[in-house]
Amino acid sequence: MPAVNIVAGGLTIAVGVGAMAATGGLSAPLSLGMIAAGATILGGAAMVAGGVKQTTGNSADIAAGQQWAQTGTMIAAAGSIGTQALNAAAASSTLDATPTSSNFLPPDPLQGNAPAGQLNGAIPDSLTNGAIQSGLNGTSAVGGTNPLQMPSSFTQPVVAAQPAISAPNTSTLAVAPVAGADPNAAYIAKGWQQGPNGLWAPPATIPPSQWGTTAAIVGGNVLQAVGANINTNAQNANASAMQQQQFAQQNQLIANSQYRPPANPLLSSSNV
Amino acid sequence: MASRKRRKSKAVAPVNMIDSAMWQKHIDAKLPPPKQQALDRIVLAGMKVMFSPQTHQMMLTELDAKGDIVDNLAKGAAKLMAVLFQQSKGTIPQDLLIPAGGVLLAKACEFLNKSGQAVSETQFQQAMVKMAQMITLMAHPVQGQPGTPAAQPAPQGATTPATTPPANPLNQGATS
Repeated sequence: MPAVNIVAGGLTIAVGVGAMAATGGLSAPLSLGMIAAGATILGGAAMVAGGVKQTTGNSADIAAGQQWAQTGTMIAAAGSIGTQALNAAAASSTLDATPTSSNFLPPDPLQGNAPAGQLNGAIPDSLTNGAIQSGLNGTSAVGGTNPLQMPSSFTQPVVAAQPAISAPNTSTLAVAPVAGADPNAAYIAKGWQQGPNGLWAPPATIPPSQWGTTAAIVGGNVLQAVGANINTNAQNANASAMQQQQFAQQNQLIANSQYRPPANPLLSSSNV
Repeated sequence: MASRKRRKSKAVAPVNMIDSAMWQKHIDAKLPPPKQQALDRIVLAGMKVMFSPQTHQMMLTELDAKGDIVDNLAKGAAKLMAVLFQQSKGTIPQDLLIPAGGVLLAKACEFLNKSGQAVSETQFQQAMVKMAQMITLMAHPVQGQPGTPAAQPAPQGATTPATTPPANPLNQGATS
């Protein structure tokens, strides 16, 4: 339907289906204060009308009149209710957000210290009494489904993920065998020394802070060598077992010195 | 004496709350004369949109939209006020948007009752509250946020479940 011009009350109104639907963005800003004043006027009228209804003396009319008085109060409060609803919606949206490593810092809605730009800590007092608590308990309090329910990640212990480190599976070693390779050659080449217990230790010239890097380098070499040894000595159960032990030690060394837990996304510097 | 008074009160005619003239009278009582005239003009403009042959069908479409009659009435009245405000280029006194919307809502209910689609007083009551909330939310839009009406007690006897309008409550069930 094309737009239709109607002249009414001194206004020329272009009305069309599109116009009826396109009310999302008003060209002139509305003042919440003025709108709330209008709500007060209509609410007051409702209270008066309810009072008039009660004058019939009929019990049904008295009850209905009381309802209208209550309705008048609700209409009059529409301004503040609207603001509260928006704040509650903002709180719900924030708490339901999926945490990511770059942008998530859990707000504490009860303390009102949400990150800037998310909530600004503005939760009306009337909502903090019961509504949020019931939301946290999983019941709907402010409309929607569990609007204030904590994301499940909050209930999980914050443990930084660590890659599983275990002895290599010899059947999956994807290193081409090197005939005649000495499995210890890499250690020896890097100056590592084998102690009486069979463990290899880096040379004293390498400070402990660099052990991880060194071990990783050595480990890569040893991996190749071990793969060669295992593949070329597949029948030598003792040698294989010894290499397995070395490898486990190697991995442990890497684990102890090189790996650091990944940055805790909840404490990343961008959010602190 | 007291019994005479009681007898007198029983004689009072029942008050029909779905009466746009009554609402306008009660609202006028709370407005200074210039605002009363402005209210008259807004209501007149709204009635022309609602009942002009060219646009009457749109009102029927709004009222027949999916959802219950309370939602449709509230959304229709709020949309109508938004259209009027938009087309007036913001010259409509903003404190009259909700009062005028209330009068026009009563007009719509009167129309429906006359046309055989009964609207109860409770439904009218609920629609009026919802309309006031929707117009309030128009004054405070938040992009991308659901404009959920706050928890509040429904009028007694309410049977309509609470609904959660989308970011712009007026765009749900748009007729475009």
